[in-house]
Amino acid sequence: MTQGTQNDALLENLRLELRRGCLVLAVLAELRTEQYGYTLRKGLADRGLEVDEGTLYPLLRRLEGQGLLASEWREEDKRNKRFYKISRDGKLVLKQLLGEWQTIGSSLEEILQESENGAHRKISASS
Amino acid sequence: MELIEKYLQAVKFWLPSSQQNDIAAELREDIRSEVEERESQLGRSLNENEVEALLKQRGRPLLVAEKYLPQRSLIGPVLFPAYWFVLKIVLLCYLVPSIGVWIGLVAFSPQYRAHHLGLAALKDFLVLWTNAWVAFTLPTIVFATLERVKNQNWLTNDWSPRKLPAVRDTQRISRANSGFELVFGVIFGIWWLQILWTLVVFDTSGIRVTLAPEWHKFFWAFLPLGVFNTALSAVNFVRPYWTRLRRGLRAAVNLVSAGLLFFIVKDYAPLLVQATGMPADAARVLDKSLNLTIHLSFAIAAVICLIIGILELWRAARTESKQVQLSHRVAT
Repeated sequence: MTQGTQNDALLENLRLELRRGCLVLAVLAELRTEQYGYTLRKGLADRGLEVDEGTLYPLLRRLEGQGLLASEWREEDKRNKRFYKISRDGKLVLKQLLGEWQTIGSSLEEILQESENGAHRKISASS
Repeated sequence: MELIEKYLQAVKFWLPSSQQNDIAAELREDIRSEVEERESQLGRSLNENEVEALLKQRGRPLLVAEKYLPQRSLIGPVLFPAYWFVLKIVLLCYLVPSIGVWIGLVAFSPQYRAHHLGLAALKDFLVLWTNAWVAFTLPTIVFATLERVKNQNWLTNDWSPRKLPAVRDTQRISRANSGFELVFGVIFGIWWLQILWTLVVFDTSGIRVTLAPEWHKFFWAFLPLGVFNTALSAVNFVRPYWTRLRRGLRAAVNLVSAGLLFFIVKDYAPLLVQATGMPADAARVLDKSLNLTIHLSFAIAAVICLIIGILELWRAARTESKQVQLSHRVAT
């Protein structure tokens, strides 16, 4: 395996890890409006959050098992589809998670800002 | 659409029966929606090859089903480091020496080779294989059982930094070990050299066990080795700190001992058993079992000396030179 391929694989792993946590948030937020699996997947992909069905459907089941989503089978366009919607508990958790997300975002912003300022200071000191 | 049904059937096979139909129905709906979308983009129905490509993109049925199942493991992450540690101990302390002794006997002992031809050799190999199998299976069963029955909270909660082992100084020699080595070395050395000199191992109650005269030559080989080893233990006792030189000398003592022991195993001259106080049959059994035990013990001792010798060489290579050690101690 070359260094480049190793780095690509590492980056892909880290990217997946980063996205995994965000995905729960995105799914809960998207399901504030009732949708079935395929439209949810398309909706997430249209917003730049591509997720394969092998990840999405098990996640939906897990969130439903945890009581954060509710689902029902219904006929639409002469086909049976399973519709998902966020539950009352899900809404509460989403609110708390969004708060957490904002805290993480601002902390990260601050850290990045500090390291950028530090780098600037080093450059000006050396010149 | 037969391909889709075949695919769903294969996915269902790996799922728990209570969820099979529900998951398959949802997957079917997802696949159909995707097919419809492609068809509307192309303005025609998808052919079989295109459906096949679409299903292949979703992955093997087993892998798709696996994502719906809870994560399971025989031995979980909490117990796994301990399990791995036990396996390594089993490998190093049991399997490697057993296989080493077997290889040593096959390579250096014509007597062993003569008695272990054809089926007998296969039988020995089967014994080794069974031992290896048992050695790995038993810890696995124990840890897998612990994983299922034991409440693992004690592992995460019931601990204190005070109870952790003291910081280990790998260069420090335990005085107790050196003292034991010194006393044991002197007693064992005198006993062993006395046997090699007189060639009498045991002589009481009408049973006399002696060494063949060929053993006498080993007296002069073991004498300097024993004296040197005892002196090294004495130095270690007085100055309990490893240096590269002392590690090297210890490696040399063990490697030379391994060489001598391999030589004994290779040209094994049997113990002579004269048992006047017991029936001839019993005397023959005693003779055979005693010789087999002694022969095997020398082979095991040779392997152990070889392993210690190699380990000490490796440690000597990693030991800092005396000057660096001194500068460290001054800095401390």
